[in-house]
Amino acid sequence: MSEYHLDIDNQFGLLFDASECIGCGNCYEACKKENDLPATNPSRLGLAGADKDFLKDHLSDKTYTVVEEYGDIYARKMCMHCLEPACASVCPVGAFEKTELGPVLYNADKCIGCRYCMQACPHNVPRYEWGSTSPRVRKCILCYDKLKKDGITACAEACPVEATISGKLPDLITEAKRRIKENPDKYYPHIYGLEETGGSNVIIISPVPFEQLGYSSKVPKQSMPTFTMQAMEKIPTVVSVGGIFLTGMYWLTKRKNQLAKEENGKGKG
Amino acid sequence: MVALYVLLGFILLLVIDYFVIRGEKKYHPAFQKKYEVVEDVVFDNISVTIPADSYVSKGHTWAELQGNGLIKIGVDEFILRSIGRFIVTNLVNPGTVVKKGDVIMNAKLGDKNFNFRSPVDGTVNFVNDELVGKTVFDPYGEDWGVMVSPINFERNAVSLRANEKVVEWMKNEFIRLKDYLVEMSVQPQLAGVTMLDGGKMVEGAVAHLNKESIKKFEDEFLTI
Amino acid sequence: MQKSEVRSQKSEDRDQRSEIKGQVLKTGRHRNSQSEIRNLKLNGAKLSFWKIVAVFIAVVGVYSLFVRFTKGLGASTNLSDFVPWGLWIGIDFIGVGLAAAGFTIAATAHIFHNHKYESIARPAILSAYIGYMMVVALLVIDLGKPENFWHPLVMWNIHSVMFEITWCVICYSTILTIEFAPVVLEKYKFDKLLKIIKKITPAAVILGVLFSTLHQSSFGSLYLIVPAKVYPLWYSSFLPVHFFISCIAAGLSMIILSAYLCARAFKQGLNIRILSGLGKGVLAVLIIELVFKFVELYSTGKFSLLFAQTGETYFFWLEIFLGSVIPIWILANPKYKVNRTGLYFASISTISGFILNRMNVCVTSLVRSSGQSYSPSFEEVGITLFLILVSVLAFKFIVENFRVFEEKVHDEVEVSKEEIETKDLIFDK
Ligand code: SF4
Ligand code: SF4
Ligand code: SF4
Repeated sequence: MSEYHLDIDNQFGLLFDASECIGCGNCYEACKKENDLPATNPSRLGLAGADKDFLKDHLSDKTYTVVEEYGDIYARKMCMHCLEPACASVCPVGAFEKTELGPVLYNADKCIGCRYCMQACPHNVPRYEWGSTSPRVRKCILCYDKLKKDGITACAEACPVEATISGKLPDLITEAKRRIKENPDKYYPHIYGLEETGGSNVIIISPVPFEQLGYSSKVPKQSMPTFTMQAMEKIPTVVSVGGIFLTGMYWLTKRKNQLAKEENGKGKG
Repeated sequence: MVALYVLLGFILLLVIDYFVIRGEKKYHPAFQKKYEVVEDVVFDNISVTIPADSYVSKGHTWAELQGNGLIKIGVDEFILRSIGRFIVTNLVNPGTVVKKGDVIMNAKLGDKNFNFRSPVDGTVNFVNDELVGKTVFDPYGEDWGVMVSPINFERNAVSLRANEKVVEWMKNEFIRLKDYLVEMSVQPQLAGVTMLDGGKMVEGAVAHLNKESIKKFEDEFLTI
Repeated sequence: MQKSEVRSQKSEDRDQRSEIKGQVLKTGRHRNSQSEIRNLKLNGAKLSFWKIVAVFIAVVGVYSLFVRFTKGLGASTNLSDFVPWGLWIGIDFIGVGLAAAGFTIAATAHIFHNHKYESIARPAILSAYIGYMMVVALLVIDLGKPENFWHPLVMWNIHSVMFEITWCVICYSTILTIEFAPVVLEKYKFDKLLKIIKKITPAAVILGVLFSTLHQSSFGSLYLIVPAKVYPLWYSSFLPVHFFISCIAAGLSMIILSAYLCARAFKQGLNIRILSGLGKGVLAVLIIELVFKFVELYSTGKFSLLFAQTGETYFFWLEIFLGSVIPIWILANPKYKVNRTGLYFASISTISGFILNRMNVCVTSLVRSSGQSYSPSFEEVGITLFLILVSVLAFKFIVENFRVFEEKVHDEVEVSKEEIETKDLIFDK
């Protein structure tokens, strides 16, 4: 899997700490602004709604990240920017790309719209512009341009309590480990995204087990593309063995028929 | 649920098609047990049937593949129509190795003898003993002749006809029969009895011919 | 209707009578093909019920296509972010699987030189060809950006199963063209080209088998990457193998079924010897598949799921019963395995099980994890039916205008000459 940049030391990432998150929605708004996305929560649309109605929003082609409410805990949902992204490995035209900086980016000009990326993503992240006649796949891009320029994502910049921080991935992992170690009572002892799907650039820590916050616990620890590779790597064998076998059978049966014919001819003669 | 819809859609298409065929008063190919050749060129409005999926030989014997791999052999209705109510006098013995074209059944009507031949190569396994000394009434059912374990049915089968091909061929056979009978009857010394009845044939007309003509009938219609 | 048909035939018989004599077989053969063509036309005029249905489907289909291309996928389908693949992908799976007969029969006839099946090679290859064209059309309609359909040709991602499938389908369609080309070329007498094509046919068939094997199984590989989403009864790291085995049984059954459909539409005789031969193949494959499936379920510890009270379990059992148990029972029964009714039901049952299996993998198995149920929209159904209609019409057109069905009854005179040694074993006179 060498085409993915497993040299993570220089990759950027995001740490989300559900214990710290206060559910203010600043990241949600910042993301919309940074990526020029239209408002989708009811009050912004001029409809009546509660104060924190962004909590009821969900990921869509117009929303790259959401904050969800689980009792008194808030959890962010967004693309995990997997180290070996399923979406990039399945795309027939390579429209998804894992960049050296870490973000998994999408190129709408290449995309043919097969939607395999959506089917394959273990976190159900990519969204589709169903309403368009030339639809694109939409998801968080880890603020690629801003990250390159400022080294920080819009959502991390907007977060008032350091619940979302961005930075180099090794530093984030150290930070996550530090927080868990310093406050063992406050945290469930697991870093989501460290092993899930072979690791991702977005890592999450939380006070409760992760499936309680809607993060899938069924996600394999293995990197997703290996599931496919197990089958794909057999192709050369199948082709060569099959080819030899079939060619052999072709000659054998042909020869057999010929012999049978000659035999018959002799018998008759 | 979608899975069920698609499945039901598939089955529904087949069921509707079945009823469409029924509505047209035709057989659905899957449920057709026999083919009818309506043929009044020779006989008066007598329809001859051919069993579905039997392989009919040039000598008017049929071969039907059985589930156990054996081949059941009998005579077809053409023979019943043309010869009449003959009596089976002899069947080949079990264990005999027969080749395609070998005689497997003798029959007689009055003092005339007829031989029917095997459509396939093989070893005779069973014979229908009940049939000996009796008249064939149900040629495709009860009154089959012998069962053979075939030797190379694949090779035999390419020269045998089945289903629609038999229907086409059978029509020709009746035309041929009529021509033959006409030819026989214009030579009064060959004809035993007059059999032309206002242009149509009397059923079993062949049996009225003399022995020489019957020899010719055998050559024309019963050899393979 | 039938009566008048017979009448017209008869008067023709009368006209020809004088010539026929003595040369019945030769003229008879000629007449056969003529009358067959006439029968085709007669039949065409008779199918009024299906004609009305066809017109209706065509109207609905064109309307649906219009909606699909002017309003987009969102407006024309019930697909969503949670169910990105729906009916169309399922139909693609089914179509490609049923077209598997093309390579199985081509291999049997041209690689294993089993001449028995030569006579069905052409119809099988034709239906595979049309099946693939339909699937490709449906895939393109299903693409969000159909105008970019050619991208996989120039933009490669060799790690993608979808990429592999695209290439295999393209290559295999080319090979099907080569395999089917003689039918067209011989009609227009392109003898030189025909010779070249005949020369490369064996190589083409071998490549065709390889490409088919690859992409039939790759349809299963598509789901390997979503182990957490597919319901465990269907998920297996052997999914590609399952897909490959089951497509053979389904493809062979499809040939059996289409023999009945052709018998019904083209007055094409059923050849029970060939059909029961195919039936044997289906039986063998079904048994292998069933044993493999259960051994695998057992060894991966999923046996308890077979008795869990969930919707998935019922679907799974229905699939097993329709697609394996019933056809195995019919085909193993000596009474039914050479019986046209028996073979008919065995093939329908196998295909039903197959349809259910593919739809289960691509829809039923994902319902639980996506948390959303999906049922196709009017337009999705309309376009699907429309494409099926177009395929049927294309098949009909080609059969009527080219020599697809070979008349394989040898002139008995030829054959018998060498074989007759009439020995009157029992008739002593
Ligand atoms: S979370 Fe999904 S969309 Fe994001 S990188 Fe991973 S596989 Fe791709
Ligand atoms: S929808 Fe586009 S980006 Fe997604 S897998 Fe297909 S081609 Fe690639
Ligand atoms: S990283 Fe950027 S694109 Fe992604 S959620 Fe945060 S603000 Fe939005």
